[in-house]
Amino acid sequence: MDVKETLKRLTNVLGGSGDEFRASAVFAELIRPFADEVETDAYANVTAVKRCGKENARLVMIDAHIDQMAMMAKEVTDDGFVKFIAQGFDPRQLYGADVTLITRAGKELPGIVATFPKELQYEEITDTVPVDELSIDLGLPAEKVKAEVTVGDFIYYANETIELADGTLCGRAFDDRAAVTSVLIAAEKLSAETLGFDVLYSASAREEVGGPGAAIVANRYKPDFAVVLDLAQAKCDAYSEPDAFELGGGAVIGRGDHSSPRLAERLAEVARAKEIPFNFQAIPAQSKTNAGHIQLAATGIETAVLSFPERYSHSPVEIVSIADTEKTAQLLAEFVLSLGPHDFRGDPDAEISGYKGGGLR
Amino acid sequence: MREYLKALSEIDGVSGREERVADFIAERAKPYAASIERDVLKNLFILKKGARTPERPIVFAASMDEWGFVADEAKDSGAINLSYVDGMDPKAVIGKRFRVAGGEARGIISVVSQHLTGKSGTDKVPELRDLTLDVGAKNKDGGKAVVKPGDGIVYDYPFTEFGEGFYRGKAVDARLGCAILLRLIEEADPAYDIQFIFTASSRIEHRGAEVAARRIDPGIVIVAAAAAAGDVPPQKKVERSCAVGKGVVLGLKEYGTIYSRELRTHIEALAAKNGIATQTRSGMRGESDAGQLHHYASGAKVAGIGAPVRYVGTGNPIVHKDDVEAAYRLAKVCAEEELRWQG
Repeated sequence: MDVKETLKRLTNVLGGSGDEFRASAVFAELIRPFADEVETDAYANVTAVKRCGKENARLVMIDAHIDQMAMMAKEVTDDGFVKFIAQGFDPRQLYGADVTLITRAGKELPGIVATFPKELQYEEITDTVPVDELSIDLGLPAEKVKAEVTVGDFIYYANETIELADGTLCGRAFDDRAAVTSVLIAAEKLSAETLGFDVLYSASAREEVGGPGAAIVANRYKPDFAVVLDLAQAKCDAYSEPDAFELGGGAVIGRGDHSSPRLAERLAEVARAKEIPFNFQAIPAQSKTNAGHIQLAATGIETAVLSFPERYSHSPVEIVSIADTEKTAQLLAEFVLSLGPHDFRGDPDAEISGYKGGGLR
Repeated sequence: MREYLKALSEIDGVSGREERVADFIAERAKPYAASIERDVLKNLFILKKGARTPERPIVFAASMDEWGFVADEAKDSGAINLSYVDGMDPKAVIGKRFRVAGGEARGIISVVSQHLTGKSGTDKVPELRDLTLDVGAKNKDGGKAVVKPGDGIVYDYPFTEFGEGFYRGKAVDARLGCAILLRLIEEADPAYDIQFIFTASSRIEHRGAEVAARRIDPGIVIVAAAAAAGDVPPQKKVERSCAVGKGVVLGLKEYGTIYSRELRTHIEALAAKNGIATQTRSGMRGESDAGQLHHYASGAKVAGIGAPVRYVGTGNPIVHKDDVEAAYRLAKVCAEEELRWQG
């Protein structure tokens, strides 16, 4: 798999929470060669199962969310500008942004978030312009805008992914499509291996709105345990506190809420054994990932949170490292290969890990 | 005007680095010019002969430099420190893509994610001097490998069509005047000799215009430029000034300039005679080369002709093709009709 091209393809397809179907279709296409069963459910969750062929095989779930942040049209003004809802967006990133509005008919209209030139401001506006004072210019006459645009149309950052220095990519939706890419890389590697577990790959919907896409999947498949892939915050020029990670620093293994100690420990042991760089991340409460939903699915499911760093999360200029994407995928694949048939049964506190470096291989 | 605007806006030239723009214009103007000169500030002077030679030079002027930055040293973090030209708005550069002038290397300007700062961290916009260019580098050496101190940094938004009849892209605002003037050089049949001045460093205190005025000592100056349009949804804090689709924009007054009422009245009459709609712009806080050009020598009458442009100073200024065409037509009328009031 060409990792860079996969990252580009997955970030260039539009699929916000509640509007995932385009992105879901791309994932379904990409995972198909590496799985025995691929399905897309009514919620736009894509599930792909790789069977190990053993009787009464246990099931490990690998989840990354397929949805991206999306805005929504809420009003067309008399002069043809589109007012919009942008929950969870930083309004500073929106001012003057390139956007794409998808009409009810499925047409993509390019737009620009209107800005106010400095020389026309009565008093210089130095604070953030809030979202409700912003509007989108589609460059169309008002009557055309009214004919084409409907309240509830989805709106996205328009810019496609570009390459930056040091093996990094920059664009929208790397959260969580970069993690989705890691799942695909791992799936490709595992497709050629003998496994001791069945593996469920899940690209789940509506994570960004706190929706239960991953829970629907977990309730349906009732995995024995799950690893949730998401992105951690990377250090950048303006932020170098220890709760952020170095871009290019490898995988990030969560410890704490939503990340069971023994699964986290196994991930770390595998990373050390395979010389994959990683850091631990303290998650005192609320991982704000799908792990929260999966943990409470069925009769309770043990989860781990595995991530890697990203700069400027939820912006049109998110930056990830291709190497981090690959290393995290490698760790994920090696973790699955490390699983023995009796690992992680029973009380999560009864054992920490017990990894002897072998697994089934 | 599409071809002129596309070609000129896609050339990179921040203030003080306008050579590539000047090269392009000089090359294209060669067959039509009586003389082509350049000065140390990188201003470009092109004389086109007309039916008569006026007593004092009649100047058509436009500025060549675009909005952008000049790169400074790479920091330990790998980010690039930036110097900026006058009038840049920090709000307009956040979340935007940039490119090293004349090159392929790219970078972005961003703010720290609210995942790290909390939602209240989004209330304030950092000042320009606190913003840096992220080129993806992880350390100082990585940053240095991409951008050298002194490199120009321009918006990375290439020319495209937008909506119905709009052009958009970086420097569509900044080079609008150049586009009008270059086409005049190529197509107008002037009633009098016209001294065209393409100025440099308009966004650094209008330095180019200052020395250009002394070199030429104009009697009349017509400045062609984008006019900031405020015809976006009402916001109490913002003036409308002028609007897309409402006619060629004539200057009234701005920082450094009170435009000549006789000259404007005369141009309005010419426009009416030729069926060209005009509007004036009410925004008083703008500034342009007009100030330096008309009062840095022995004094000149000055007029401003422009097209209304939304989102000036950003990577995505937009201008309507009919507005640019009308601005060109009015400039051409001014070049080809006798300026009777001159004396």
